[in-house]
Amino acid sequence: MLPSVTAWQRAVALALALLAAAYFMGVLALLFPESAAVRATPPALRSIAERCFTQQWRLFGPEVPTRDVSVRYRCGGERSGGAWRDPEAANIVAARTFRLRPENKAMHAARAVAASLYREWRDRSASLCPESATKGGADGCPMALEAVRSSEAFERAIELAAPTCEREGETCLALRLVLSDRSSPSMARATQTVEIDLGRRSCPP
Amino acid sequence: MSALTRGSFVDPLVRAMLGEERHLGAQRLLSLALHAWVLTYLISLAPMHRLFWGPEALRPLTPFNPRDPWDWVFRALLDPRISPHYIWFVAGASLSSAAGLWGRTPRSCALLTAILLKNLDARAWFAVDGGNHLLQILLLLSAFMNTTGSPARPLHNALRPAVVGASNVALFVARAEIALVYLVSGLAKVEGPAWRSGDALATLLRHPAWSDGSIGDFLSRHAALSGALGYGVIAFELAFAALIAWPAARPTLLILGVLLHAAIAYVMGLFFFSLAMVASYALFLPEPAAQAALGLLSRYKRS
Repeated sequence: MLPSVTAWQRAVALALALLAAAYFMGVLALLFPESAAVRATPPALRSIAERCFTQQWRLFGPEVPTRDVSVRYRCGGERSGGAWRDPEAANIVAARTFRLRPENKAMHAARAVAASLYREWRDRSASLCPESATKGGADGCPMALEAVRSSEAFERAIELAAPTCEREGETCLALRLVLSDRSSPSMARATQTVEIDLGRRSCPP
Repeated sequence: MSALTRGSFVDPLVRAMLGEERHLGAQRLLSLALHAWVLTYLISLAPMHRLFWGPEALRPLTPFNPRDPWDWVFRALLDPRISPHYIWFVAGASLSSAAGLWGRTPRSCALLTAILLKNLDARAWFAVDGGNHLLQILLLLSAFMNTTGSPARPLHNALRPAVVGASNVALFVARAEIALVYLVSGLAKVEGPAWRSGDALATLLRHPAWSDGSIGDFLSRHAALSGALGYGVIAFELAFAALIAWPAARPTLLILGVLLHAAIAYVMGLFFFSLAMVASYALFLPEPAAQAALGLLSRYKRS
């Protein structure tokens, strides 16, 4: 316990209190980026908060998804006649045997790729063919599919599937996006599935 | 400025902030838990290190920006010239967390581990969950805490109030951060129609992203149980945020929290997220309990 409080100690306490206040201002800026009070937070403070103290706690209260998005690939392209494969499948099986296996984390790579491909396809469809965007499916907007094929998301999906095909001596592969809709949040099983053939890479004509 | 030079009503607050280190055991235990988390995480991902951290790992959505100084600190591993040397980041984070566990220069270890972990997480962005974010925040805050387990011994006695004050404030901020996690996630659930209707747990646990579906199927056949569990989770999260400052409520909240996170780890496979949340509970342990836990650990270490 301090026997008597000096001016230096009061200054230290004030500086620490101000630092704590700045921290919470930064946190608020991350939690409520649109609020008027938070827009007044200095950009430098916001930048530090974003880099050091990411606040994504809303992730822990997820809204129940009504659409599953996954990606499938086929070594040898569309004409190979082989099965469409799920890049997550082996990881899911391995992860369920033991939660600490790295596959438990690795399977999120395929999910992230599928989510970014879906966002790309949805946004391109909405901007290039707004009238057909609501229909869904591959036939809705060929221009959107063309745009997706030249996107970063498509390249990443190829990167994800290519090593497996290359191990089997195939450089050609086809990609498909599978969207499974649920009619209501309480219906967990898919009620409608749309398969979008995105195209292929390194396949002979 | 006069309040700084004259004795005033703020003096009791100044004494509380700078005068005494009351939670040395809890802070030491937190540091041990954080470093143990990092080591377990790195070891468990190591068999697939190329896929997570190697140059061929899935590219992040936001590329490295060489003109941003923060990127050189927290995302340097995304630079194509540095990326092939990722193994040094893994080794550095492992060594630094091992040194933190050993109790050597714990503040520097916490800071170094946080920076290296941020770099590794920027590379393995798809594998990162809330547990990683929480760990990074707590590691950075623990760099300001006294995590040695014994009273602070600054180079000069005049610095002691500043060192003690920084430690106490960092502890307060870390505790508030945990309460905030529960508050925000509880309120986010209250906003969601599926959580309000009681359907959420059954539906989430039938989703292939979260579970194999068997528990979800069981819950959807027992809607009342699903609803009760869902409302129970929301009630717990909001109660944690509101009541954790009240010492009498802490044991109950911490036991319920451990049970909840054990269930999340088992059912949803979110092992590291759950481990991070439970590790953060060290912050709320009463000092005798924290000292007893440290005593047990040191007996184990000696044997």
